Amino acid sequence: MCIAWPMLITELLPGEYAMAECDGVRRRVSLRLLPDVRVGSYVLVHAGYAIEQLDPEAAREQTALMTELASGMHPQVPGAGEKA
Amino acid sequence: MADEFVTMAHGGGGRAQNELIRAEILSRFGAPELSELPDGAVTPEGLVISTDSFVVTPRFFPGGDIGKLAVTGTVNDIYMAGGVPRYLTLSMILEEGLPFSELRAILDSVRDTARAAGVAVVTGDTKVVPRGAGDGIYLNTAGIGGKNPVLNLSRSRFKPGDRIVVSGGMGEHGMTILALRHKLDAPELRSDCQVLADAVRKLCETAPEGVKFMRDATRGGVLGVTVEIMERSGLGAVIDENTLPVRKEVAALARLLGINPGFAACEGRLVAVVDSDMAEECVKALRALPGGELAAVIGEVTDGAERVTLRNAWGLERPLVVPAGDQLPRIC
Amino acid sequence: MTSDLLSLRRDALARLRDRIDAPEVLLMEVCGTHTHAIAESGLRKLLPPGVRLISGPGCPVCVSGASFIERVRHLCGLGITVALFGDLLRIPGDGRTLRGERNLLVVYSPDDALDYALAHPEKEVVFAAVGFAPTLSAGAALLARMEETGVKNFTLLADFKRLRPVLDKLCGDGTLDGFLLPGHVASIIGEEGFAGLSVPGVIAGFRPENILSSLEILLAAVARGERRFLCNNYPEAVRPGGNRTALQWIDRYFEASDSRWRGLGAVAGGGWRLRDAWSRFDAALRFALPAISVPEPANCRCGMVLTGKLAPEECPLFGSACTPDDPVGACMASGEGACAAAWRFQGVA
Repeated sequence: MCIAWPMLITELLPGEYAMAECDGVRRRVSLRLLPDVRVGSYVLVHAGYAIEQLDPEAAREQTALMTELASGMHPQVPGAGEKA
Repeated sequence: MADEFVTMAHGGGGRAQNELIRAEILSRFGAPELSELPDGAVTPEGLVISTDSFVVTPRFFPGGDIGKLAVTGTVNDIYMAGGVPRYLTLSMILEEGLPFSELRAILDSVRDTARAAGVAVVTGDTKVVPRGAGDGIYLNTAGIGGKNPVLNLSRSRFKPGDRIVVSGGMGEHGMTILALRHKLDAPELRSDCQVLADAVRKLCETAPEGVKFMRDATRGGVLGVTVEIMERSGLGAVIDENTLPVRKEVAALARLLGINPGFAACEGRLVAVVDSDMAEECVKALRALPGGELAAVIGEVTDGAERVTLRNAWGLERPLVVPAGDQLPRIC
Repeated sequence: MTSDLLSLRRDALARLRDRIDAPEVLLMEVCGTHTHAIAESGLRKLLPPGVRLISGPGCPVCVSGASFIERVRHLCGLGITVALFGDLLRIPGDGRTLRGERNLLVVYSPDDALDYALAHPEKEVVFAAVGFAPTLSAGAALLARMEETGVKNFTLLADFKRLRPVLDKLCGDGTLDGFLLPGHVASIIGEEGFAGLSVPGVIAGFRPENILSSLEILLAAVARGERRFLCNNYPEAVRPGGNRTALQWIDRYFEASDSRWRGLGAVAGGGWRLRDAWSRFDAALRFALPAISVPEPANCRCGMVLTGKLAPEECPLFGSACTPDDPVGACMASGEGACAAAWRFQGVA
């Protein structure tokens, strides 16, 4: 009941916000629930909120393999599994 | 149909729309030319005719605008029906208050895209509706062309083992629009909106007899159109999920929004059924085109019941079910 | 995974099952995202005979029921802009879905809804949501920003559910042998949130690989007869204490309350209500929402499906009167519902 995906924090923004990125897609996310996060952290993002921090190795594996879940797809993606 | 009223699902390219076409359109206008539900009709005189309407918001997006779409949409339908487009009509319904600067930019796009596609806009119509009664601008184009002498497109030519080929990455138009709407920024991603003339030319050069059928993957996406192609063919197909080509940005947006990119709209991709001997050559030729780097064989035609299945990474199969209407971003 | 590896995993599961005496082992997953992932991966095909993996009440739109849809519709009828996640648009309320209602705004994030309200101070905006712990925590974060900005035209209509009491209730029946537990709920409430269940549970992530290994761990615990067993098989995203900051924000704005779950009736502590101090943010109060009780559709058996008492295929309406195109109940209408998942998965080798 909770789609949440790993994203990389690339920039801290004013207020409770940060810029998060995943495979070339960026979105402002709220760090209200995870205030100690730094640039370079991997976090789980649910509905625009970071809900938990991930350790980098685990996130690398997660992003590549979580694509299996993505709406039943297992896309052949150039560069999939490589972290920015 | 259980509905008393038209809903957004009826325009979504999924089953609701197909059902509307069957129940309301074919029942009234079932001409032989329409019976295969092609996007274009081929008349006994050898004319290929098609029409399409354009209601997209936002009107301007990375990779194009509603004007460009108005040309590519209809021109591509004619190519897919085995035609070579020559002339277009252009009908506009403008909402009072639409800035002239936008109208000019849109019409410039129509002109430029038509010119590049080698078609002439020869007639049209303009109406204005009161503020609030329209979405800025609605466009309709109708196109006419002659038959492409090289292609013989018919489902009756399908046989088990034929390959299903897509001319590039899936879902790029639909995902570009959704990304804009939901403040997701994907600087490298743009709509795949383009005329399919070059792709069709490559296929004609590489495998004129090997190409048995083509459709452009608009609403309903690559997977939706694959199901449409296989309907009434008497044969089934299996799609290999591992081979479905998707740009990484599209895959990421798909995950974040919970949308299947295989059903997300394209505006410049074709799906073709090609003889197995020539499929690899066709893919190679398509990959040489700009924007075609992800062209791929995605599956094959199989014996047996008219059913399209998906084979996943584990080799396990399940039926490919087209969503009822348009896909909505979800959180669960 | 190669077919050799798949065979090995299948055999391992079969060997575990052989060590269990009972005629049937009943495992339950309680997360709509797991329901979806399991259906998409075809994972059930790897389970040995005598092991059944059923779906429980893990689909929020399913357990919140038709009356939530009608409450949203009532707000739309008042001319309010209602922002919501796309999931809610597909669910039948009193016969109709919300599609076609005026002033609906589908958002990816409730934060976008608040931005909209701040940009349109002349409009009344409500964010309407159902969900479990992750969405509840997003709701709490939203309220924090609402409090901070002092927004005057934005309120919340929420039916957030609390899973734990329901798990205890389901254990109480004595028919279940184990739970596959939702990884992202666990991210918020921690391993601690699932401690003390009377059947084995494994906290699982969402990769099919992870779900498979979680099932192996679960089956092994059942084979050992170890009733009080909890394993965190998603440690990269789940800490023993969960997300303390999130739990604090939740506690600031919400308190546990009794709540109706479709198929289970009233569950003590099964939901969350906005604390009285924040009643100004409650859309139900602001707009004097009448109590709307919608009888569930005639012959709809979602309640039994949601509690694992009826498999989707066993419902007489499945595939005939109730299909994804024309759903009777939420279990078929929702992308995460057990019936929708069963439909997508049916047939084919």
